[in-house]
Amino acid sequence: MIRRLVVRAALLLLAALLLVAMGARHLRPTPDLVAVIVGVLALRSGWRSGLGAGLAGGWLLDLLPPGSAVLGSSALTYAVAGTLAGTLQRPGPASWLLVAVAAGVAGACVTLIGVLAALARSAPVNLPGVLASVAATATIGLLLGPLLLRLDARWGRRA
Amino acid sequence: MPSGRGPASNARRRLLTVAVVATLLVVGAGLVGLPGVDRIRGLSGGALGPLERLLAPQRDSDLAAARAERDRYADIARQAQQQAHDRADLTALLDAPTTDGATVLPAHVVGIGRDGASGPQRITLDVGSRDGVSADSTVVSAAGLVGRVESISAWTCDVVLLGSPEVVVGVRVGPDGRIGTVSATGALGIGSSVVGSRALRLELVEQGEVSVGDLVTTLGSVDGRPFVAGVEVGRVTSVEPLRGRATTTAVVEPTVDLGSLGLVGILQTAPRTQPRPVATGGTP
Repeated sequence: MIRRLVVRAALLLLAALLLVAMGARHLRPTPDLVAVIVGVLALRSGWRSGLGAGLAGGWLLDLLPPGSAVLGSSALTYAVAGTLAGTLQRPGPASWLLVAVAAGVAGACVTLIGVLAALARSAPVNLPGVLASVAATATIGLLLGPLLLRLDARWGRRA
Repeated sequence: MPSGRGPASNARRRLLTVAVVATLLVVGAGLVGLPGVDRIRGLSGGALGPLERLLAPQRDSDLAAARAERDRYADIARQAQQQAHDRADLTALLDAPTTDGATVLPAHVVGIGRDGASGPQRITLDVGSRDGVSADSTVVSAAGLVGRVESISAWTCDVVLLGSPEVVVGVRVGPDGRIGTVSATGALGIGSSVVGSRALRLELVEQGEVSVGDLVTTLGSVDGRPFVAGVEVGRVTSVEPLRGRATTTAVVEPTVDLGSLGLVGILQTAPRTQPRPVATGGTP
């Protein structure tokens, strides 16, 4: 159990670091790697684990410089995304497509909350950029999701 | 993680509830501006900032150490290219009117926060308190205003970018130097062209003449913090019809392309120590 938690935390930390580093290299559209991890973990273990993974991943993004404008806001956003992605959990092994959908749902949820916050204060919304980012997140989910599921399952058996 | 009903499951449920409540409390504290929240940000910057610097785009000295012998010559060529690029960026920054006569601390962008709905809103630079960075300093690039320093750790600092909801800049517009503010808030209502861009909203303090193409520069703050005077912010791209409004509003396109920032400068300003001399009217 502890080992699996450590692996999940390490995956989230790596995803958060890569997300910030990709931004510094001006790679666009940036896939939301944290949302991919949160979506995959939620799909594997259910909405409650999705909520926990979302909180942890969001807190990492809140704390990793430059962080977010309001400390804790990313944590709540990803927690909602993890909870939603967790509702997609089905008995038996998940298909590749479902993994991509879970990552996409998590990424879309995070993006939608950001768009709603921007619209609430009448700020401009970069619609093409936002859509491209969600598509990139779902694509990375499709490519890495099954691998992440297998990794998590392997550590789950060993724990 | 099975969702059983045993004691372990109950403990996990309680832990999650506590975590959610604690997060809500921190968000609430941040929204009302309690001082402890910035301390958390500083501590996390000190702990996680060095990790981020490791993953930042490689600079000249890192390259040579990291490459194997067979790649040495290719590395040397790449180093020379990078150094020339850095040197060109630095020359452009120091030659820009923005930094004319100012004390500038050059810094590289090592992290960009998760994009908001309208693009990046915060960046991390590879300089911190040990390099002499202080809060509320103006950050510029060769093209103009980038943002202001918000929080600082030992080796890194976080910058809130122009166009973030937290940044409202006092500005002068056009040849007459009309006074107003520039912010991201409210830009959507001005016109559909705003969607998909990082356009900003200009609002004059009273009705006045503003034309498309007018230059917008910073008004300046006390002791040059958070913004020194005369830094280019952008140009007016459209003016909204008055329609009974009390003030003139317009759309401003920033001069700085935030999506390609590499080298920036932090303007070092010191508080005034000498009283300002008085002047007598009618004397040349």
